[in-house]
Amino acid sequence: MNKYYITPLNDSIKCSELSYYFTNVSLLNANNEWINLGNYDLIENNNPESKTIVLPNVPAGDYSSIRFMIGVDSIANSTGSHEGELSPAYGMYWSWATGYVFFRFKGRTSGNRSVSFDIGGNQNLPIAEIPLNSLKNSGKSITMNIAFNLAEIFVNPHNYSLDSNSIDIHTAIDPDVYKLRDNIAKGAFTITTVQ
Amino acid sequence: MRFWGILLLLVFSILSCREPEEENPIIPITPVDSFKVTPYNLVYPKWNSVIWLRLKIPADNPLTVEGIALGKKLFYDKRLSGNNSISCASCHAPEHAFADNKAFSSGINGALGDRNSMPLFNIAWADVLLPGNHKFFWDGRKASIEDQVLGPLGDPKEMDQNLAELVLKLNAIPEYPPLFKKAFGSDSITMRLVMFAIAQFERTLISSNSKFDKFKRGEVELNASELNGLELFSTEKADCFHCHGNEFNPLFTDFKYKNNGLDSIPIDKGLGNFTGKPEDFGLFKTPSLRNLSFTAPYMHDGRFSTLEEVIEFYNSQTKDGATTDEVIRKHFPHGGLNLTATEKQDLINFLRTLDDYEFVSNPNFRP
Repeated sequence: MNKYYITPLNDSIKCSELSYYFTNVSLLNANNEWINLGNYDLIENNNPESKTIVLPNVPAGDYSSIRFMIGVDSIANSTGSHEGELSPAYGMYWSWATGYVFFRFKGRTSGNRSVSFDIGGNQNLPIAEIPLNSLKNSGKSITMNIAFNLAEIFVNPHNYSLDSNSIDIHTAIDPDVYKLRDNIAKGAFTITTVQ
Repeated sequence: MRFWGILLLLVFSILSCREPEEENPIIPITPVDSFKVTPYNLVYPKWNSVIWLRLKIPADNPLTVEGIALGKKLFYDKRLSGNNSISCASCHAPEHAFADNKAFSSGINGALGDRNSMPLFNIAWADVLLPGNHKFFWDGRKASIEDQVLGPLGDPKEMDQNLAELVLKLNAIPEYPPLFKKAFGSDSITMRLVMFAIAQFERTLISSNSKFDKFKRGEVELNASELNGLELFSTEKADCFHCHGNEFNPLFTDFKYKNNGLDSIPIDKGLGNFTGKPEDFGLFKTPSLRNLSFTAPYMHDGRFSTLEEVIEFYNSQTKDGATTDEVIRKHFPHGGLNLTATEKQDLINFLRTLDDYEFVSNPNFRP
């Protein structure tokens, strides 16, 4: 991660830390009902083990869409069990505000400015929904590869410039945080393969 | 556009196709001769009603009463050093929360070590919270507590004990073979079993009875200054929480490796010494903030003698460098933390609530 990347708006940046919660994976079944698998997983760029998630007990069915949260739902955020990967010991936690840091990015521009995003607060929860080209659960386990492209958080639907937008986000009420929320929810995650 | 990010693998396993996997499968121990160990009942501390995060005890080295007792005996035995003059406890003394009060400790040959003796408490949680191979020592050069034991034993600046000779030495001490037999079923002492026993003892060194722990259990109150210190600690104002946890994290560290801005160009490369990666130069393990009153001086090189110096460092003296953490750097445009004298004192008063006097005087941890 120690090299510079160019964002879609031509800002040059390197990343030193990238972590986020990936939770509440849900599948849309043929009856138009969302089946929430209820997972709470912490993904860390420097932890390869964290990047494989096993979701047991998926009901048989035919699914047309997948949805997940980058962060935690408002219930877990305020009254969570704090168990497993939701333990505040993992450091993705604001004890002074409500709950968890959903998404953390730390990096530096080529001009040596610090970029540090801690996104949290119930109103700033990105929820991604991706249509599936029919996912049939016919009794075998299914492996899905999902790509998270960081470049996409700087574009679509909002252009995010490291010169004119906030590069130091550490409150839920930062005026620019909604842009990152929307950009993460839309287009940053793509499904590359389903087997 | 170039891909730049994280690839995730989602595995959907089908309902009632298989049972969820057990995290720590219990491996039955086959009795050899009359070998029978007593499982150690590890009591997890609680804050309010929440149990601290469960530990990952290695399946091949479960905690046993016999293993822990043996580990303690070895920990305090000076015969583990090359000339029988120092033990682990010489630099990891219980009254100093299993550290010492020197910047650098002297080994058997009188030479000083390179880094400040690390305190030993709650270290087993590093196994839970850290991924990969960099978990122990200031520079993260060891992946397990068992493996960590070898570091000071073999280091010429520390115990300078030839490990092959140590095995011969211990086998020849009449009291040891029976104790290894009780703990591990074999009276043939090996280095592996020495590492296992000491690691077991170290896993039991849990500090959970500070004033702050009692506050979290509703047993005592904090005064106004301590509470204000907690608030400063937990917010961007003093900004300790990004690395040293929060009031729902009883460990007061994230155990991760960071450059906290001590030097523009790191004198000691820390984790970078071990990985060789420029982005790891000058990164050191975040220490816990428990028991600071017993573990001065501070930092990996013991450069600060007092907490006042440490707070002033973070307030106004942090340095920019190629790997200085962004959480330190983000205060540079504002000229540092700008804490008032009262705020600094409140912060110190809060930190003192993390001192665990019961831990440093616990007779179970002494010979």
